[in-house]
Amino acid sequence: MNINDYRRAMDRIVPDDALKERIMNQKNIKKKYTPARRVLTVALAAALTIACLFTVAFAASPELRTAVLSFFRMEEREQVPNSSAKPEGPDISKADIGELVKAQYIKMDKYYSLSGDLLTDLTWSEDHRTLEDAKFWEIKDNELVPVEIDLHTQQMDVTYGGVRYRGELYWYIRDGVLYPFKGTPLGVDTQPEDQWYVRAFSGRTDALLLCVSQGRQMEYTETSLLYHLDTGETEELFAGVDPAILTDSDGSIWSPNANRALITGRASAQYPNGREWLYDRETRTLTDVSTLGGAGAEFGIFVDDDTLVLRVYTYTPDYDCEAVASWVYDIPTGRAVQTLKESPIYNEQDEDPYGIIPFYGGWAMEIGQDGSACLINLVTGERTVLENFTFQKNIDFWLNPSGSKLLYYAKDPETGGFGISQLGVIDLEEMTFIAFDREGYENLHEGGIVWENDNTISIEASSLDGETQYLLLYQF
Amino acid sequence: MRQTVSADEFETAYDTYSAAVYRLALVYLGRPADAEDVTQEVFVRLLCCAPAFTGEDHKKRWLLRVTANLCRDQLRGIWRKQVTGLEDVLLAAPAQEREALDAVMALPEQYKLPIHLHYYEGYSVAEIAEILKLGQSAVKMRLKRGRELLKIELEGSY
Repeated sequence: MNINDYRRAMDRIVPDDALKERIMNQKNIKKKYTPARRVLTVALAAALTIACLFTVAFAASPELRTAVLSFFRMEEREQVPNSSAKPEGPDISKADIGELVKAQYIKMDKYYSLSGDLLTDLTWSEDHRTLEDAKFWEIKDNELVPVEIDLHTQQMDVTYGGVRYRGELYWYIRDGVLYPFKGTPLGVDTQPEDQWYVRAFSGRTDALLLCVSQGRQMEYTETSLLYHLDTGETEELFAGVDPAILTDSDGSIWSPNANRALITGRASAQYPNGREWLYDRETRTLTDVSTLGGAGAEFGIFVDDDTLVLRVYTYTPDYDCEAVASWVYDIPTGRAVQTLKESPIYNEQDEDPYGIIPFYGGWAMEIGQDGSACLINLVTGERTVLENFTFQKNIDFWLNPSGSKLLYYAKDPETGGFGISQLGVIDLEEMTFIAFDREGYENLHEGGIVWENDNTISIEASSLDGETQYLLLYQF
Repeated sequence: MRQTVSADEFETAYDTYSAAVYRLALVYLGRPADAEDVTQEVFVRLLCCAPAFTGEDHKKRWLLRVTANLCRDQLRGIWRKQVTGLEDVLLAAPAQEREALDAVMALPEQYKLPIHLHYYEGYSVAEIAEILKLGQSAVKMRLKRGRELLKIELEGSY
């Protein structure tokens, strides 16, 4: 059974012929419709007028003057590997792209994953519950060095909310970092006891975050517990929180030091985009995010242990997100400062799109109607114009986990996969923006690009015949 | 700017995209009757509220986005039974196809929509982010976790 079975099954599914007739009959009903975009445009125009007044004021202030960052397009080009000869195991080669980028190409007979800085091959039992074999390699410059890992295992057995969660838990510790994992039996034979997963928690090596869930689809709820590896016992992380909030939550997002969390609530008729609460473990207080700083925010994002970026989105009646505003909120003092006035959001589907592209973190980018691009620091409000750079529809940016670098890539729409024709990074601390062109990318099917850690970008790819897998790693 | 959709344009759009809209709604809601209701509402919105499309791709993405939004809206407001299978719609399908469909349908909602849009409709992470109004990192994470949770072979199927 594979994904092609799913595709074939889906191909069989078509709506009933009578549905078309029903709709064709209904379409004769005239509806009065007031374009929301027009109403909002008036409001935005007023807001922008005010914003322009502020911009003039900012321009007069030296510390708020707009900075400039030049786009540097390297002369050196990458020659993307494309050999389809299937290796017997993982194999690595290295290529420097100019003096600025280190690339490593891992060629594989099947897909291996990365855990931390190790290439990892895990073999699971047929029911995906038990680990039968595990191999690890250290990724050296031009060499994959097998390493022995002290792999721990434990039978996890926890009862929470009337559900008994059980299964094999595995972990190892390397360079003071805990790497936990488990099998993935969820799927066609899902059991309530399988609905849990684990994550490292705030740098601890003696305990981890155990997330237990119940229900499916919109009934999905999840809560987090602290699981002690030495005793197998759990500890409540949300002491004092109204149980009704926890039973209606579908997850939590933790600050880096895990002293605070955002508890995310499921959507409801009253709160169509869900709700969020900020929980402070020390004071055991819970605050509705929409009340923080009077911003009326829909949700928050931790940019450090004490700071949230608060976002407010504006929607049209047909649920298009049309505008965004942002505040920075200092949790200890409760002070909120607006760093982005309500501004049109960039919508790629527009003919000549322009507006704000918010990233998940403390940054956004404003795209002008002429393709000009300006970085916005959502913590300070500072703006940095990207010089010698024109934004186009096939371009994407993506923040790394700590928010210190912004991945940049341009996609070739003529290719079947991502087809990344240009790859680069904006270093938000050093304020540099470099990129290089790629040659031969069309000979691979590039299926995904991701930050593996704060400094390493990986591209998942396969040969066009699907026989050989690639993991392409880049460090800028 | 809104546009007026003529009867011919509407019919063409329905013939071209109704299956994609219906399939996405079915993946989301699980019940054919609910999927039909949403399909109907989506195409009524095409008549009354459609923006000026820049092309067919734009039109399809808009329809799928409205589908996802209406499905979400429908699920929020009503009490629902757990949905476990699709016997009604796939009686004649081979067992492995039904199992594959059930496997995807059994995923939590936050994973199965990105999985369907990526592996069936062929959309990229950026396009799925646009359709589902999610950040690209969230889409990537959901695809990654969805793949982990899914007990069918996906490798090499990008």
